[in-house]
Amino acid sequence: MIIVWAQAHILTLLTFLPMVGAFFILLLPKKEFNSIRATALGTTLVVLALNLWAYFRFQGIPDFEFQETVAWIPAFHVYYRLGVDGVSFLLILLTSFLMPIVVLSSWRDIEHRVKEFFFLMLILQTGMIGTFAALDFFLFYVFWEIMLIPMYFLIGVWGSGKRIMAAFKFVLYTMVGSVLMLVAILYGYFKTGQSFYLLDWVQASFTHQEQIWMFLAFALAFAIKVPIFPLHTWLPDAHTEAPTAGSVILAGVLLKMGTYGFYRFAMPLFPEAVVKFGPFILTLAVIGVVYGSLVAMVQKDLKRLVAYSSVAHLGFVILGLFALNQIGVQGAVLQMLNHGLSTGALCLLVGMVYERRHTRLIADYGGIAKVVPMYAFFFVFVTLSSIGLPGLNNFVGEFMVLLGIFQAKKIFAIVAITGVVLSAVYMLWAVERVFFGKINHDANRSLKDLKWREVCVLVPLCVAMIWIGVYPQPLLKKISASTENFLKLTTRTTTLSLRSPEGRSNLPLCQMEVASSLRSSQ
Amino acid sequence: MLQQIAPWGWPACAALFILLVGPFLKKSHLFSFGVAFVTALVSIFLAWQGWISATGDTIGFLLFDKFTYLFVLFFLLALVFVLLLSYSYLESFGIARPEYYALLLFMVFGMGCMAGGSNLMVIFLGLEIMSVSVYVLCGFQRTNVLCVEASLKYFLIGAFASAFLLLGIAFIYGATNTTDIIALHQSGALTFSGDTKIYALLGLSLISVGLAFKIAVVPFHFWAPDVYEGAPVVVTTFMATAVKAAGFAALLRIIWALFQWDPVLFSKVVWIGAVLTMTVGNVAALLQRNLKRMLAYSSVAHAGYALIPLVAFPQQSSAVVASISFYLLTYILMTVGAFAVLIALTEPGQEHCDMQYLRGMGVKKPFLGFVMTVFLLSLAGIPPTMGFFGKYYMFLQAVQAGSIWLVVIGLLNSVISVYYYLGPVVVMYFGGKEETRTPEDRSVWLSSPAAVIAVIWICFLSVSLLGLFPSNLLDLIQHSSAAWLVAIR
Repeated sequence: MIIVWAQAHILTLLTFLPMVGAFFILLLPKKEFNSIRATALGTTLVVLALNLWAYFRFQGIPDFEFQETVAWIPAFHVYYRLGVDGVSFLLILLTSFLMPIVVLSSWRDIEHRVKEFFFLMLILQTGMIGTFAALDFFLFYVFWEIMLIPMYFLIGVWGSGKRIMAAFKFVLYTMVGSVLMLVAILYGYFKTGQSFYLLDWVQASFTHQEQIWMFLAFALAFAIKVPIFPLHTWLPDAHTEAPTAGSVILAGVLLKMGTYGFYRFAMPLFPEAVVKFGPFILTLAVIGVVYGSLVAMVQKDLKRLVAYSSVAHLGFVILGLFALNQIGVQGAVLQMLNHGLSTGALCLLVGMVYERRHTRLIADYGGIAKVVPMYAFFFVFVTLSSIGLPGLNNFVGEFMVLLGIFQAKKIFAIVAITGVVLSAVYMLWAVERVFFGKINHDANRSLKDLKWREVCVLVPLCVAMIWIGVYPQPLLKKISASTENFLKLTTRTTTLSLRSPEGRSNLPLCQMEVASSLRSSQ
Repeated sequence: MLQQIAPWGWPACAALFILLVGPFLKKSHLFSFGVAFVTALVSIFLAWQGWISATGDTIGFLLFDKFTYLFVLFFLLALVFVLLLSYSYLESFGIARPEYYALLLFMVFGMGCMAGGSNLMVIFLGLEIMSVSVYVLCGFQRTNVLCVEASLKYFLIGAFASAFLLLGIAFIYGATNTTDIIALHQSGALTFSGDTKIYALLGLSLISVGLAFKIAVVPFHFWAPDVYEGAPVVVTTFMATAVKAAGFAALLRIIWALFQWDPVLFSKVVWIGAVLTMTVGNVAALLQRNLKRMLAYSSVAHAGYALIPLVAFPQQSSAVVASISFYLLTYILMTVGAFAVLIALTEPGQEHCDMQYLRGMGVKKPFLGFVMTVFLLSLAGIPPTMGFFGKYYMFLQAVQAGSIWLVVIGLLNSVISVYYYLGPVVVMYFGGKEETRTPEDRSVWLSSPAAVIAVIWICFLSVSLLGLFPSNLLDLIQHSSAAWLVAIR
């Protein structure tokens, strides 16, 4: 009985359980640090357990699963509509996987305003899961914007250095993009006969001109979030100044919002615009790969290095998506997950050493492998994963993306492959300067190695990396139907064929029936 | 007639009663506050009854439709808030006199006539009753130079505006031989010729200028920051909310009557006015360090947002009126909330409106810091607050009418506004460890009068809950505007 109910409302549970936890935290006394932390950890673990349970029940059919529909503001045809396909569920899983890790990692890291910190973290989780699960544009926009505020506070209150500037930069950049997206959403609302429902939009026939403009509005919002070169300038600041937990979430999940937005909205809804702007975006992505890697190479600050490496890695994801073939898109989706794991782990590692020495400058370290062997082991392991060593996760993703883009547009593959080489250069060079050679600073001699809590934080990530590197098949199986669906929608040539009765049957959507049955039931 | 006008006629009687009896009592402050408060509550009840039974009759020069009662409810709501905020404030500044309450009640009477007037002259009279009272209230703290300056400034400029308005009405009377708005509405498109046409257009523009002064539309906004800053903060609260709402009520009535003389020109003027008002208001607010001034410029900017849906007026008039009404209520709730936080921070005899005063408030007074953040986010229009929904509703109308660029400009303006609304948040929370480590005593927060805290709670709950679940309120407001516009057509 309860299982049936839970399965029917699993997405609501996943979205709002963190918020419930957040309210529990509000009730706790301010000084009870440990019970606050425990509540946060407990909540995120429950969410993770529920999510895993649901993931096994997830079938991977080419339709949205676990759908829920409730009228929210009937006067505006706003519905509370949730549903996931393989890709969005994978990203939700990534979110709920990273959250307990992040909570555990900030156990000692955050010592002032503990209550507010964990409260905001859990609200942020609600925003993130909601964004991935929303099928109604209004709902999506609300969740999308809700995420901004906790992140703004996380950077502004617990950040370092120029945190205020970084927080503002983060909010204002994202807002500029998202308000233009809101205009496109409002316009589409009227074009689709006053509907915010994703599937109504899929069936709507936007003219060529409309597709161009709406794609631009959506793409700008998502490109800022990804970030695609040259809109990336907020990321190094926000990422560097954020507290460790904030940067893990930022790099691990928030950046995926952008690529997910392309996957879910911008590309399948406006196929003509994809044809038109595809080469342009591919060019920017490939510039991002090379430029991000080159700039990462000269960074003096470890965290800035990670930030620029994110620009490069996300460039790969965009390349894969715009390759518009099965292997490229699957690689891109896998790469979203991989980047979340590897870069998340890197941020954690940088945060751990920052906690001890209060500096992130590469020059302040050197030869510390002898002092902290365990730390060095994990760092090198994650580095190898990040640069795409065969047998670890990034290799699979990058390889698939390159294969896909090679089939589609050779020249981009050739340029992008330099990114793989460059990533090895900047990461290994940094590792060399930090861990090997002579110990130049006396402060480093007394550095303490990892505590068991920190090992607990890192081990799950490393296990996931190996697992994906060796046996990614189960994951790929659950996303393949969704990516096929995405490709069929994105590469449909004209919107005219949708309107004709013959075209209707060609449409790769059994969602069509769902959509019409939903409408008739209302 | 008496029964129907009671919701805003009754306050005028109460005001006279306070003036007659108040000075002779020992506890005149408590007495006049009590009379005013009870009056406000009774009037809210009466207005609600009126709303339910309103049929849209015109009796005398007044229109008793749901729209009128809806706006009277808004005014009374703002009045209740301001009364609750005022009591302790006036005591602490030593300006607790019965006239204050009488003037507030007179203002509500004037506002009711503005919203319900079916004749341009009645609207004008209502406006004057309201304005004269507010001139006096602005300078209520006579010993403060800034306060007196504000009052004088407002009076001079307000007198100008009234003259414009009256002259405009005179020209319209000259052109059409009537000042009845229903007759004017039915006169249809501009079919005058020669001199009459000039008179009509001149009248229209003079009326627009007069009203633009009152609701502080750029370029007629220069008085607003100085007056808002100089006036006692409780009066500022009432000016920023109820007076603005009353101005918009009159504007909507007059526009409905007159826009069809030249709809194309009308929408162009609205377009330019909205863009200028939003942009100037927001850009100027960026530079302010005083919260009262910042909120003054932000109120200019919000008037600009509220003009946006008017470009859709001819086609979707009912939805446009509904969206503006909804937004005005939203604006009342969030602005009263923000000012109430400032009032809660007031020390006896001294206002603290400089932004630096909020430093570290997020830790020292967690509740006030938190609700202030919510109000500011709502003013900036960030979901899921009511401010977002209100803005969304208005922009929806403009998009439907095809004014995409206007909406783009409006939304980019919202982004600008995020910058300055988050300014106080930075001051409150981002102070860093050194400043906020020592949680100081929360005595100031505890000593804030219960009435002020009650207002803050009401505003906070409405702003957050009505943003998530606006459906019922939406029905109510849509019903009000539809009733007006359908009944008379």
